[in-house]
Amino acid sequence: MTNALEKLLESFESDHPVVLFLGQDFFRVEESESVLNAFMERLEGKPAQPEAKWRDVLRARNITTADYQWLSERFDRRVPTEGLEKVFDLAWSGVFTTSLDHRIAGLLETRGRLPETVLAADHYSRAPRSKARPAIHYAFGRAIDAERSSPPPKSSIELKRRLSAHTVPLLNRLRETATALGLVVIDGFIPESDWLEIDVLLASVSEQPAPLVLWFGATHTDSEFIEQMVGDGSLVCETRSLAEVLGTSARPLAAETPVFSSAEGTISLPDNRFFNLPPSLRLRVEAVAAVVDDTWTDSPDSSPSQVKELFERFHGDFGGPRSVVEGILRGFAIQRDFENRLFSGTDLLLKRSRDVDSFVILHGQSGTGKSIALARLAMKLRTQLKVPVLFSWGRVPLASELDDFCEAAEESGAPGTVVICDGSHPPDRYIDLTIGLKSKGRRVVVVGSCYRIEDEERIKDQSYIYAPEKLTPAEISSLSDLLVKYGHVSIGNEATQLSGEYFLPLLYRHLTASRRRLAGGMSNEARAAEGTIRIRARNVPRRKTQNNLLAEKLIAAGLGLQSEPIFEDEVGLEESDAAARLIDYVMVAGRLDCAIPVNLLLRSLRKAGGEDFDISQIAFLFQELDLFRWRAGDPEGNSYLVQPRLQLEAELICRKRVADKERELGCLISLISAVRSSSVDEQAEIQFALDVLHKLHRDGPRGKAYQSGYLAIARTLTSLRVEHQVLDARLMLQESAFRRETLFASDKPDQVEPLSDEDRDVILNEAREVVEFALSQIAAKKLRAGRKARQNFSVERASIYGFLAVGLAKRKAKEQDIWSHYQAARTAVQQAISGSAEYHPIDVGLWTPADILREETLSEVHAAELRADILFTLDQASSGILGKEGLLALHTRKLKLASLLENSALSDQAFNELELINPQVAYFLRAREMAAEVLVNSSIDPTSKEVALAYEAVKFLEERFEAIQSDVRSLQLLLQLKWVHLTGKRLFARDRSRIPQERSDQQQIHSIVSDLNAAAGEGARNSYRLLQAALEWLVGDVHSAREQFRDLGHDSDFEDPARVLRRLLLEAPGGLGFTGKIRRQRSEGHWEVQVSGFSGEVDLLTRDFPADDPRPGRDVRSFNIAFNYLGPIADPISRHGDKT
Amino acid sequence: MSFSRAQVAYLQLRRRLTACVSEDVLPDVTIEPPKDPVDELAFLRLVAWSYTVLHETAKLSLGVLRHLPPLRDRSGALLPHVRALRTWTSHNLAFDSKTDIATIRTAIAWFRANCGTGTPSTNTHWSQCFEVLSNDIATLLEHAVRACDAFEDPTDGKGLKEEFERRLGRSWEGFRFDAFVEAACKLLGYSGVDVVPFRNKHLQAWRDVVELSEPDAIDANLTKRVEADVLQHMGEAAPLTGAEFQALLALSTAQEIRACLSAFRGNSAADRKSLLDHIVQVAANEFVPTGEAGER
Repeated sequence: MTNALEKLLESFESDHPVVLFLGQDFFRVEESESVLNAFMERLEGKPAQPEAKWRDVLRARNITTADYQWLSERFDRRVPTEGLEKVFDLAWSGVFTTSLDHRIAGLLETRGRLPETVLAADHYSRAPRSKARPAIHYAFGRAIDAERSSPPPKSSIELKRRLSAHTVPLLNRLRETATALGLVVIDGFIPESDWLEIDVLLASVSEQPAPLVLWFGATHTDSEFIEQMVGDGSLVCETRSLAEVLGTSARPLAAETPVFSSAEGTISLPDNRFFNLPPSLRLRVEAVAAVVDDTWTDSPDSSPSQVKELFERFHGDFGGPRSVVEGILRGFAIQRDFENRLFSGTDLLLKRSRDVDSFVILHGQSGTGKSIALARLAMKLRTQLKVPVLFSWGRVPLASELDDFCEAAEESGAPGTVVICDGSHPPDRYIDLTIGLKSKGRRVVVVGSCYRIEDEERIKDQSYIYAPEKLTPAEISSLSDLLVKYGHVSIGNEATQLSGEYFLPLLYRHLTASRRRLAGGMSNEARAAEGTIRIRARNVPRRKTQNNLLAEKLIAAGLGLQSEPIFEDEVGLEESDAAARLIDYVMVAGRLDCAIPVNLLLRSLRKAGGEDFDISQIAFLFQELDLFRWRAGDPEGNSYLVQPRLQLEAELICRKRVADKERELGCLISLISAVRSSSVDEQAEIQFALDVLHKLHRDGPRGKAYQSGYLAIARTLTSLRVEHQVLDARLMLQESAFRRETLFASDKPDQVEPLSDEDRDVILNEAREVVEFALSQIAAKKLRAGRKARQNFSVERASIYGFLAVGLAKRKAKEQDIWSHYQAARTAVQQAISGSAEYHPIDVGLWTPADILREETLSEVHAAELRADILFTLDQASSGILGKEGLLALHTRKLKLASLLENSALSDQAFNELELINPQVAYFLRAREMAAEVLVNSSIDPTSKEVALAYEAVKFLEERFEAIQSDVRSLQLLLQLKWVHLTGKRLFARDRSRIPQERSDQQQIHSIVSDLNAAAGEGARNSYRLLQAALEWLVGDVHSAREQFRDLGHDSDFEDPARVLRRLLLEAPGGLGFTGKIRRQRSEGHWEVQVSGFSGEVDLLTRDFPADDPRPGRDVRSFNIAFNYLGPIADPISRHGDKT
Repeated sequence: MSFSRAQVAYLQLRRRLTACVSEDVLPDVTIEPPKDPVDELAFLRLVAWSYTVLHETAKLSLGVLRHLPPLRDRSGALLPHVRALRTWTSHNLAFDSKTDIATIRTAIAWFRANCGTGTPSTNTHWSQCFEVLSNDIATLLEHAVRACDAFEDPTDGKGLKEEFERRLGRSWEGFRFDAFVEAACKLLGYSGVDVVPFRNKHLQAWRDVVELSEPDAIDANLTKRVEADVLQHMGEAAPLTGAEFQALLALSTAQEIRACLSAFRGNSAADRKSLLDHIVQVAANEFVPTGEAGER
């Protein structure tokens, strides 16, 4: 077998990126290119010369649009040889071509692939190196696009322009797409014919760290690059074409199995139903999470002879979730006690799929069996409950990326979908995902893994399941049996002696291949790990210089291969050693469970190493050392990531090798500073940076360990943005957040050095500039940011102004300055609260005025207003917008505020004084004081005495309506109390708050809520917008109501879990329900009903009326009208037991 | 009955290809066609007929025509379910093989989509499946007939015919490989190969070599490949390589090596083991008669 073919097959087998470069002559058959000959004949008006070249085309005459149209028709009607078909059948990670033939995409549409074309330098493929969606980069455009943008060149001058504007930038992506570990395969390239000069092509792939280049069909060509690259081993030339080499190979190619299989997509559901995923949907969802279909739970192939080896490999290197599931099916892992709770908790949430808080967080230290537990959960959910499962590892998908899958699953009859994320991310990210999917009404449960949580409130919560480090006696016994079963009798016996040994470390120390050779004490993990590195990395070859043939032979014979130890005994690595840095970088990121995109890693090493950077060392460490893992970051192999074999190992190695925190921070900052937006891996690199940043945060797995580096991190992000144009809203948010965190940390002088006032101001000002710049860029549509990001910026702005105001108050600055900063913070807080169900903006709205109050620097009037704001924010937070998590945090904050709010009642004198200066605040505080008893506990229905008190307060406020009609605080209080007075219940205290049936009552509430929302402007809360829209529908204009619902539905999409909840209910007088007639079907399972007595229509869901068999023209009876953010909806009476 | 549509289309395709390429490009389908009434048997025969057309008689023609409109618009394999249905109906599938399970799944999914159940049992089920499959194959063949229009195109027709003829010329009958096997055996001094079974075992791989090689490299590439396969065969036939025997037994000529290797052919694994032990003992001058194998 030829050297080139061997390398090519090895790369395919080890799943490394392999990129095809196709020259213009790729279609040449038996030395002849019939289309080229015919084209030349057309251009010259005479038969073409026997050896026509593509370069002759541009010499003949200028090409017209009609010529290119003619050429594209020829491309359409030519048939490739079997050899070409074989070439295209290979699983390429991407294709770059100088050909103008648009049919290349068609030729790649085999094996389930969906190729994508890239025509210009400013186009980026959605998936840079996906084997399922290979990108075809047309260096010179396509003939078929002659009339469109990015046309192919029509003259030599246009060719030169195209070359500089598009060809070279596109070719520059070739190297990054292949990565240093991958291959670039050149085929069909004849230098003297092609429009592309060979030196331009080779220049683009030869800069270190470079991939290996295989040139099939190579010809003798005068080029400095060829000589040099062949000399240093980075180019291999093969004179035969790729097709011919493949044809003579005795090794079979796996060209028949699908690169991307939609056929395997069957997901069996309960009651003998099936969910067949459409290929396009599978492809989209598999880019972010694996679909656990029926093939996952098939019995693994049995091979008794290898079972022990498989057992050891399973415990030494988990690989992806699929291999973990396979290991579990083989019985390689014990079931830990907490796994039963994990399963039953998930099952319970599936049954209560309408709950908003449908998430389970599995937390615990690394090495406690979380990954195995999640994989077993996936397996049990599929085999026992037959519920569709999506499994993501590494990153948390966005709700919008999974929504279509969940919807399609439910339409196929699935009881819901479980999304499992094994990534050790902060719980908030899983909660955000749940909220996003719930906002679309999906019956979904999110299960995520997380490092150990210390917060006591959360620990008590049933949604948090703890994976303890210590084994129970029963677990130890099972483990012992398991180890004995697979031939590890001594360890099995050792396990039984334990009274609660760490679980995975035990297996880790004993089972991974070489570790058995190491005698290590029970508590000496770090030394064992480092010792392993020493054993494996004893020798690293010297940098490969330009050896001549003789030198190569001598090296091959074992001479001259002088070794260079990576580790001096007990000394450690030299600072300048690229190999040392590589280990440090991978391990510090691995300690945080973050895999590094390969190009980013090599870029940062090169940046740090400068001239000393030695790619041969790196390659050796990757290939010969069993320390790291390359893995595809997603099921379709789109991004390539480097990570330690086990997170635990990284943790141990870091403790020993990178004990100095500053050095660890230095490594992380180097990695972050190497992120580039011009890279083909832009998204993967930015995602890596975000993952690292989230974990460096004080809420991350290592708590405050990194807080001394927060300012350096923030400034690194700023320099990334300013110097390297990495413009990303999420990173900009972190730029500000880390600066704010710096100040927060400096308030605890026992932990970090305190900051001077000047430094604080500088840092806060930098943060403010970032946020204001980001918001202005978003407004100008120069920076892409979703609603969520915009909200986060609002909160961030609120926090910064809050910090500024509190800082000024602490320094006893001028009241005017403090107040103006406070007002800015308050406005931002209200905007952030309006569309969010999160607690964070509420927290800012509470701590900012509270901290200022504590400083006692403001006048009585302003202090009263601060108290009013605190009470107002507490009222907002108590009226059903927060989830379980938020309520827990609110409770903690309330306790801290209690002392501030004690004895805050206004004396008559104070009221009179305040009424003169700021009547709105005076009336609010007085009314709230009158109704304090009503508002004290929002979780129980008001008593008759409280209803009476509410009425008194309402009367008080209504008599002063003119003064309060633009004050959000008073209007909200009036609305809440009015609702209590009219219905005897609290507004939004639970689902289906009953709307008063009297039209005059409805009109009164409509008027108040309309004023409230108008006063709040952009800060109007979604729930009040719902109330306004519902009442508009009942007593106002139906069309205007529909518009309000449409806006509300749009604004809360993927954001507010309350979106699909039926929060308001109108009951028919008499309790028998409304009647209506079905007018038409809106969509599958959705109908439109005309209700008797109303001008507007309501929606009806088939699933709510299963016995009625809805059809157009049929009558529907016995329903109430409920309202969610999407509009009015028929709500069956019987559902709530009201029907007698 | 829609099967007659498929038959007519096949006949039309044959006429068109005979007219523009060669008369022997599309052979007859000689297996039993399905008959009325439509029942399980008719469906099974339709599956067999469709498979024969797609993967045997029209394989070469469809390989060219699929790149031309209107067949070009179909991506991936042509009617991939036919292969799964044929395997499902004609082979004993193993429940512990992942490939077989995938085939079963594909077949069941196809049945479920087309007759409402994964396991058709009534004549109504079979009839529905028959209609769908016969319509699929008839439409495919009709599209293939329309694709033949490209051969008449004044600009492209010539090149297309050349490619068709090139493929036809590279589609070697099995016997044409026999000469290469005999030559390799002769060169290596190895006479024990039964040429026809040996050729049939490697036929597809050798056809690939012919199809994918440059015209002037076909002989050289094929010779290399056949020699490699003969050598492999020789290696498999004896427990040691010729060189090892040569060293072990101090053999000096090709004849001696051949005789030694041939001695191992036709024996069971146990016999070969005994024979090998015997030779090792001979070489070590420690021969002690131990039975039948030892006396050979």
